[in-house]
Amino acid sequence: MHPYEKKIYITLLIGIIVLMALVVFFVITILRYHRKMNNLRREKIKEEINSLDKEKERISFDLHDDLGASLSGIKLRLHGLGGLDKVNFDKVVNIENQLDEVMNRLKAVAVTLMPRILQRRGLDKALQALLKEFSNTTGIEVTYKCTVDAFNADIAVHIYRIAQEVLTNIAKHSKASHVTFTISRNRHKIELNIIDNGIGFNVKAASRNNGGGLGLQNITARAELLKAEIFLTSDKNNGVTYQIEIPAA
Amino acid sequence: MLRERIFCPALHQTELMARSSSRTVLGAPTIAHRLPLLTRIKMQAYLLRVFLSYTILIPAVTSMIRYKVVLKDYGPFLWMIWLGLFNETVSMIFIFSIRSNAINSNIYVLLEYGLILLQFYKWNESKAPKYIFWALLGVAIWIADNLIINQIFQNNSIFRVFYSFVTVFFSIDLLNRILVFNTSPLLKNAMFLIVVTFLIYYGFKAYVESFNMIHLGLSKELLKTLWKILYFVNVFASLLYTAAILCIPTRKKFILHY
Amino acid sequence: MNKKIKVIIADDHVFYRDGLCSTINADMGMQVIAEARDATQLLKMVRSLEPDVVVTDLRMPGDGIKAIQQLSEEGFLRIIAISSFENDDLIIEALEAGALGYVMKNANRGEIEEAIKLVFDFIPYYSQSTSPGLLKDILKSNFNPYKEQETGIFTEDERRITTFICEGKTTEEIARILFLSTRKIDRIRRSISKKMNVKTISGVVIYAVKKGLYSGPPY
Repeated sequence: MHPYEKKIYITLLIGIIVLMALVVFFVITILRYHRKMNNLRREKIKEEINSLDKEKERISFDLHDDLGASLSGIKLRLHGLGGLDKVNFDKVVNIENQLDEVMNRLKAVAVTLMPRILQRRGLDKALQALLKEFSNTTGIEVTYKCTVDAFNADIAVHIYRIAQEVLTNIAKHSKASHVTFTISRNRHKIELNIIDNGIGFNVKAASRNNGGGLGLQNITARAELLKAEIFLTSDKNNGVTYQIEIPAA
Repeated sequence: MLRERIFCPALHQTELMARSSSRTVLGAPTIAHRLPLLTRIKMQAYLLRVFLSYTILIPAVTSMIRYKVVLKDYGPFLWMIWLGLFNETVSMIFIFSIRSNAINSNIYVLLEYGLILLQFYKWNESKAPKYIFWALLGVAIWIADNLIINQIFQNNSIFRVFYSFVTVFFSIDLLNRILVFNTSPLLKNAMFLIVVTFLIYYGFKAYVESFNMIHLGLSKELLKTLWKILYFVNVFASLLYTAAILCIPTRKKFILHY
Repeated sequence: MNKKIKVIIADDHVFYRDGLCSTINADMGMQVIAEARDATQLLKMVRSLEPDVVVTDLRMPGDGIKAIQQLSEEGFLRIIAISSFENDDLIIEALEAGALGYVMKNANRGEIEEAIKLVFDFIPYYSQSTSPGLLKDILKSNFNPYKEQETGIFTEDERRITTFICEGKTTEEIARILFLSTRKIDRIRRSISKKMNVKTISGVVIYAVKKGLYSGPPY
């Protein structure tokens, strides 16, 4: 090689090496900052969701314990009305029944906001209650199976909320007649499978349309919190399968 | 002056230098012992290069093993690898018979370009018109390069530089998309691995091929050494592709693209 | 008895306290002599005024359970607990701490008065809205207001029917098994309830289990 060419060669080589170094550095920093960003994002979502959950808990408590007790108090005062003839007595009993109904509705709202049974009896029982209520209100048949014996308290709340969101979807949009709900443990993952036989929806469109108003934002947020992965499959008129895999130690 | 092309086993192409002089005979390995020493060394060097470029075999085999389980979204990428393997073989045959693999390589790069576009189309889940435009543009440039300006049995670089650039730009775009929307660890993400490899490989390729396009009057030696670098990038790319194939998911994860 | 039953109530909720007060005072046989807003006040009032029956909420400022425990240790045994929830763990705690009965805040007409009258006579009272879950918890708990084991105030028929009730059988089912008319079964059930001094099926089950009449698993 001509000595002059050698210089060119070395220049080119140096150029390539520098470029390579830049690329390597680029990739390494991408990896690092991507991980940081994800952690940050997750933390932020966690903060938001937890504070929302606390709000819900407080409102649920206020509704049930405070307002509920007041309604009971009013009912008792009605009990205390004496000296009534038959007609007025019937009227009073009628009012008491109405109060009972309001109380039941209040309780239903409070339970939807924050199910106390979740903390007291665990996720399994809470889900059973949720599904029973769901089945009663919508008339959709539910098959439930849970093979996990214990859940971490923090995971439990989010699983419950995800289940609530999915069931709301099914009730509102799916026109299904049957839902299969399974929770199982698969090595290091907890798998949540919810399958309905309704009309399905366009998963691709929903993923670009900000969730398409299907509560998917809430579901994905909570899944991200849990570092879980969501697998959604749906065919037209062939129902929807929600599969959520949550890593658990 | 006949344009000379330096031997460079790029990822899926074997572009062998067809020397105008017949001083060296490359080929017919069975009579190697009868050839003069210089020829033997050159042949060993050639076989080494072939061996290096056949590292494409590794990802090809891996992908065949995983083919059934793997997400069909990655189909075009797998076809790329098999096509590359096929082209290597065809190139070998042509080199041993007619001394030049230019024709099949030129056709091969057009096909490779098409597959790359198809793959990005599937990954980006976007509208077709954009990709059709790039495909047609590519075909036009290919025709101009291989049929009008030069001839198809020559080693032509204009199209190669063009499609390398296109791939690099699409890769950068997809890379940024992955960074924004993805929440899982990147090193296990097949898309990420493939795209980074594309960046490195096709970036280099564009760089090196442009020397072929623009005649700076540099010596063969110099250019040959540049091509040699591409070998190693080739091998490196094959390994990364294998890693990517192992990471291709079996189910489609649901991600919200807000 | 011309003397009115003296009741002290404790609840932090103003509206509810009002309602409770007016219900109790409406009954001619009882009267609210004091209202407490928290556990500390309750203790002070009970100790100084010495009422007959105490009706206290479980969720209020201060430790309601501890107050019940202290009161029962000091000899005030006629305590009724009130709860907002039908499946409240606190009910069990209250019963184990010494309460003799419990009602729900959303009680039916006449339940509170009935509870007070029974507890006044040292007879336990179980809310009419006792859920199966709560029943199970009570049976599992250490709560046992019945001091001695049952010693034979029940007839053979009554024992058998009690067992069926504890197994969860309805009157019709029992009638079919024993080849008796439903009317007869009803009559025997009424007599059982009267002897046990209970008004609900839950009461029957609790009595039977705690007194040793029935030892199988409850329905």
